[in-house]
Amino acid sequence: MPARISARTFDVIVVGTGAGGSTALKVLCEAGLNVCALNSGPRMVPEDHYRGHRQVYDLKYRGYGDPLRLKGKAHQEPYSVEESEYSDGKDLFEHDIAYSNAPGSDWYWKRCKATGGKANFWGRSSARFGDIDFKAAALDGFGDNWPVDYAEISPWFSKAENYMGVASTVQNRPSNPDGEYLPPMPFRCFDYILQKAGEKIGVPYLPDRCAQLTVKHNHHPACHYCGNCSRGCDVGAFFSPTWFTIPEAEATKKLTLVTNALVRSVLVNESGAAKGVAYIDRATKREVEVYASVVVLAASCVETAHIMLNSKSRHWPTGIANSSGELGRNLCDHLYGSPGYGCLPQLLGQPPTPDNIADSTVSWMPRWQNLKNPREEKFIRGYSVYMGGGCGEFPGHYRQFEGFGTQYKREIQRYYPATVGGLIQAPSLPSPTNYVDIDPAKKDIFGIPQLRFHFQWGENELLMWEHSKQVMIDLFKAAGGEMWGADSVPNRPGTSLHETGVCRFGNDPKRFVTNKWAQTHDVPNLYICDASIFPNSTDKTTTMPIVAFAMRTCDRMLENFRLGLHRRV
Amino acid sequence: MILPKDETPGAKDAGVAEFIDFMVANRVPVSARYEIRATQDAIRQGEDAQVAFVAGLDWINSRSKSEFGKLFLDSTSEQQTGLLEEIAYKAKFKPTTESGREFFQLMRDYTVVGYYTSKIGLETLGYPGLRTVWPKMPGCSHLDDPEHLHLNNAK
Repeated sequence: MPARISARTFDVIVVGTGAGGSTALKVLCEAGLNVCALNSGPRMVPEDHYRGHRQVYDLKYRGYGDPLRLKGKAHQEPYSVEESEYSDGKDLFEHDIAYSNAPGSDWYWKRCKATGGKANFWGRSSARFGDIDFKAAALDGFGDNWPVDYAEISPWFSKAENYMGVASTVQNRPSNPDGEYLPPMPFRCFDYILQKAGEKIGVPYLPDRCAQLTVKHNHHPACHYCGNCSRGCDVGAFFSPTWFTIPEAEATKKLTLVTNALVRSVLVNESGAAKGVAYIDRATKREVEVYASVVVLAASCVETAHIMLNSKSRHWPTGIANSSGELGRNLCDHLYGSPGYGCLPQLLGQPPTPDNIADSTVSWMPRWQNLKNPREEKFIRGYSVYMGGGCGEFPGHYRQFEGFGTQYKREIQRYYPATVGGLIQAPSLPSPTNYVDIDPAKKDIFGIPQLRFHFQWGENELLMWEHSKQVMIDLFKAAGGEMWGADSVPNRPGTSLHETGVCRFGNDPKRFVTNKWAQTHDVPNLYICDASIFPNSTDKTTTMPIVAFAMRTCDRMLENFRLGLHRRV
Repeated sequence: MILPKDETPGAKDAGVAEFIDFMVANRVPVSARYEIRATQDAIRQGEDAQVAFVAGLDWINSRSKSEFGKLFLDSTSEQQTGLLEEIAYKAKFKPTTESGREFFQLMRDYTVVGYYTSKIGLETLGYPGLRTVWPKMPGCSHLDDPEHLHLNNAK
C-alpha cells in the first residue's frame, strides 16, 4: 500500500523543475493555485554546486575528476561538459537509473536530476522559431505543419524574452524572426574577420540571440564575465530555474516542492482521467502517491514519454493518452559536430584577448539554406552553425604542431588568439525508426521498466553535415585562414540535449498525442510543458520556446480552471 | 625539455612532474585513447597509461644506452635533445622507433595538460579568465580594420 504524501490534494502537480516545469510553477503559483512540484533529485544550491570562481588548478584532478567516482553506479558513463569535477560528489546527475539502446542505436542521454535540471548549465542561445519552421511541411511537402503559426506564438516569445532577458540585434532574416532584445554581446576580432569572409561566400554571420544579461534586467544583475556560465552562474545573470522561476514560485507560498521524488507513473481514476502521480522517494525507497486536479509533465522530453509509457491501466493499455499510438515516436535531435576548425593567421602573435569571458555563443551563422526555394539544396529545411574560438581556458591547439622545446612553447602562445572552429546545429527529420519505448527486459534499481532508445541519423541531416563541411572549407579560404580539420563523424545522438517530438502536438487526435495547447487529446487534465510536444527539430535551440510554450499552456489551463473544466480543490 | 623555462616559466616551475606522478598513480585518463563509457574503461585507460609510462621510460633509457652508453638522464643535453628529436619530428624519424614516438606523444600530452592547467601555466599563457570580474565584454578593438589585415604581427 503506497503512502500518501498528506491528506491534502493539490490543484496541480508538476513533474520536473527545468525550464518548462519551473515556468509552469511560477505561472500557476502566481495565479493562486496550490501546486506540488516533484523533482527527481536534490535541490540545486549555487554556492555549493556551481563552479563559482574556482580555477581548474583549484581542483584535485584538474577537471578530470576521480576516475573511480562512479564505481558501482547503474549508469557509469560521465556526462561531458555539463557534469564536471566542480560538482563532483554532489549527486546532481543521474547515474542510478540506467537506460537501454536498441542494437545499432547509441543515444547519449545526459540527465541532471537536481532542481532546475540542465537549465542550470544551458548554452543560452535563444532564437525564435518562425513560420518557415511552423509551416515547413506546406513549403516542402514533408511531414506535418505545426498546429500553431507565428502570429499566434509571437506574443509568447515576447513574453518569454522579456522575462528571461535575451541579448541580440534586429537582423531581418527570413528564417529568424526578430524579438525584443537587450544590447548584444560585442563581436571579437575573429568574428569580424569571419563576418567579412561570410559576406564573400554569401553566408550570414551575425550576433546570436543569447539569454545572458548584458545589462541589469528585472532585478537580476548584469553579467560580470567570469566565463563560468556552463558550470552555473554564481549571481543569476542568465535565465535559470534556480535563479528565476523557482524562487518566484516559492515566494507565493503556494508551492510544495518535493525533492528526490522519482516519478514512476501517472495515476488515473475510474474514468481514465489523471488523478495524481506515483513516485519513489529515493531516500526511503518507498512508493508515494500524490493527488491533484491537473497533472503537468515536464520531465525533460523523453522522460515525459517514459513516465507516460509506464502509466498503463485498463483505460490506457499502451500508456496514458496513447490512443494515437504516437507516444514515444517522432524522436528528433540536433546533429552536432565540428564541420571545420583551424586558425586565422591575421591574429597570430596578438596579445591574449578576452574572447570567451561571456562563455556564450556570441555569434552564429543562422540558417541560409532553402530560403528562396524550399528545395534548392539536396536536403530540405536547413541548419545553423555557431562559431567560436580565440583565447580559451585550455590551448587545445597544442596538438597541431610537432616537436617540443622553446620554439614549440612559443607556437602554442602565438596561435592562442588565432584559433577558430564551427559547431553545426542540424535538425533531424522525424522517422518511423527513431523513437523510444519501454525495454521489455530491463528494470532500474527501483523496479521501474527502463526506457529504450531507437535512433539513427537520417539521410537529410547527414547531407547537411556534408554540406556544412564544404561551407567551412569555403569560409576558411575566404577568410585567408588555415583549416586544420573537421570531426570525422558527427557527435553521438543526444549530445545536443535538444531532443523533441515524443508527445508531438497537432489537431488530429488520431495522429498526435497533444493538442495545440499541449494538453493530451485523450486526457484533458494531463498537460505537457517540455520539448516533447515539438513535432520536429528546427535549426534553433529549444529552451526559450519551451518557456514560451509553457507560459501559453499554463495560461490556457488557468482559463480552463476559470471555465470549470478543471476544479480547484 | 618539452616546455622549458625560457623568458617564461617552464614545466618544472609549474609542478608538472608532480602532476604527472599524481595523475598516473591515480589512473586519471588525461590522454584519452578511447571513449570512456564506464568506470572500468577509465580504470583500464589509467592502467594502460601506467604501463606505457614505465615501458616508455625503459625504451628511452635503453635507446640512450645503446646510442651513448649512458642512461637518458646521465646523457648530455645535446644527446638528450637529439634523441627526443628522433621521436618528435617527422623529418627526423628513424625506423624501429614507433614505440618511442608513441611514448613521446603521451608524455607531451601529460606535460602540456599539466602545464596549462596550473596557475603558472595559465598566467604565462595570459588566460583572460584568471580575472573573474569584468565591467563589460570589451570585444574587438580594431573596428577600423575588420579584416585585421594591418595588425602588427611581429613576434
